[in-house]
Amino acid sequence: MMNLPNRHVDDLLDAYALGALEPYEVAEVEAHLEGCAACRRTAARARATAQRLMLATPPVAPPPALRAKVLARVHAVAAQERALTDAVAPRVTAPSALPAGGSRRRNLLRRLLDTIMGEEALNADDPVASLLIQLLAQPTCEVWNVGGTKDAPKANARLVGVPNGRDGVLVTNGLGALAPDRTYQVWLLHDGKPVPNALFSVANGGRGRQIVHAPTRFSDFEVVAVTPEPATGSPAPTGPIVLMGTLTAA
Amino acid sequence: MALRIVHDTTTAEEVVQEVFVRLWRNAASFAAERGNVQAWLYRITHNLALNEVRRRQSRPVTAEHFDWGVEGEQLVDPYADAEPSRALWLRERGQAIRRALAQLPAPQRRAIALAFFGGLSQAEVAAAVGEPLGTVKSRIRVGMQRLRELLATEGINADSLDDFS
Repeated sequence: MMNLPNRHVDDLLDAYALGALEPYEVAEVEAHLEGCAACRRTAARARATAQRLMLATPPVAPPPALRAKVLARVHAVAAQERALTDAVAPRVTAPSALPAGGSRRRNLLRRLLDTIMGEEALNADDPVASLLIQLLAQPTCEVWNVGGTKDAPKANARLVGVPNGRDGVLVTNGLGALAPDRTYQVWLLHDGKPVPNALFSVANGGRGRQIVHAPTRFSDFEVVAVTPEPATGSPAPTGPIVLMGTLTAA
Repeated sequence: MALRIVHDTTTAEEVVQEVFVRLWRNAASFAAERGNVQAWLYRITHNLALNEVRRRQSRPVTAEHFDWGVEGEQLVDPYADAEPSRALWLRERGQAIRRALAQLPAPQRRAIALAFFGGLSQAEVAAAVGEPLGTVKSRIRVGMQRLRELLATEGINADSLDDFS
C-alpha cells in the first residue's frame, strides 16, 4: 500500500540510493523528498555512500584497442548528428534566427532532441529513436505538446508525427508509477470520441517512449490523451485523463 | 567498473563506448562543474552497465561475483600510466573502501552488493538469497549505516564527494 506523502522515508533512503526500491516506492520517496529538507539531507548521505561503492570495483586495464573504438564511435555519432542537423535544423527555428555555420544548428537540433528524449541516449538501433529521427527529418513534422491534467500536474509529453502520416512517437515525463496490474493507454479523439491506441509503461521519473500507430492520418484526429487502464487495455477510457493535447498544426 | 558488473569483455567495451558518447554530448555542460566529471563518469557507467545486465538477464547474479577482497583482482596494473603518487592514492582509496566492505557481516555485504552491482531490487535480493524480504531490507539499512561508520574510520567522509577526482 502507498504511504502518505508526509510520512518520513528515511528508512527507505539507503535502498533508494542503491537503486533497490520498487517503482512505486521510488515514486513515494521522490514525492516526499520534494517537500522534506531533513530527508533530502539523509538521501544525500545515502547517495554519497552508495557512490563510494563504485570506487570499490578493482580497476581493470582497458584493452589497447578500446581507445580507438571509443574514438571511432564518438566520431560516428558526431557525423550522424551533423547529418541529421543539416536535414532538420532549418525547420525547427525561424530561418532568420539561424546564423551562418553549422555548430549553432547542431546545438539547436541537440536541444530539440534532448528536450524530446530527456536523459535517454539517442541510439539509432532503438526503433523508437530511429522513428523519431525519421519523423524529425520530414519537412511537415510536428511536435505536439501534451500537458498534464489536474490528475497528473507534473506530467508532460510530446507527440512527434506528421499530420498526413500514421506513425508517431509519444515521449512522456513525470507520469506516476502504476501498480503491476495497470498500464497507461493512449487515445486519439475525433469529434470527442476516443479511439483506443497503444499501451505503455513508464520508467523511473515517469519517462516513457511509445510508438503510436494512428488508425488513419493524425490530421483526422483533434486530440491525443492518456489514461491509466487495466493491464490489458480498455476499449473505452475508464481511468482519469492524465495527459491531453490538441493535434493542431503549428 | 563496467567489466566488474557485466562480466563480459565485449559488453563492457560497448558500455564504455556509450559512456564516452554521452560524455561528448554533455561536454559543454561540464565546463562549469568540472570537478564532478569523475563522479558523473562513475555514475553513468554504473547505470549503463546495470541496464545491460537487466536487458540481457542471461544468467543469475550471485554475490560472489562482487567479492573482490581487499586487494582486488589485479590482472594488469591499471595505473601504469598514472603519475606515481596519484597511482598510489588511487590504489589506497580502492583498498580502503574494499576494506570497509570486507568488515561488514557477509549477509549485509551480499545484500548491498546484489542490489548495487547486480541491479536487483530488495525483493529480488530476497529471492536470490532465500531470505524474507523484511530481513533483506533490514540488512541493507543496517549494512549501509555500518558502512558509513567504517568508511569514516578509513578517513572517507560520506557527506562529501571530494575523493572523486
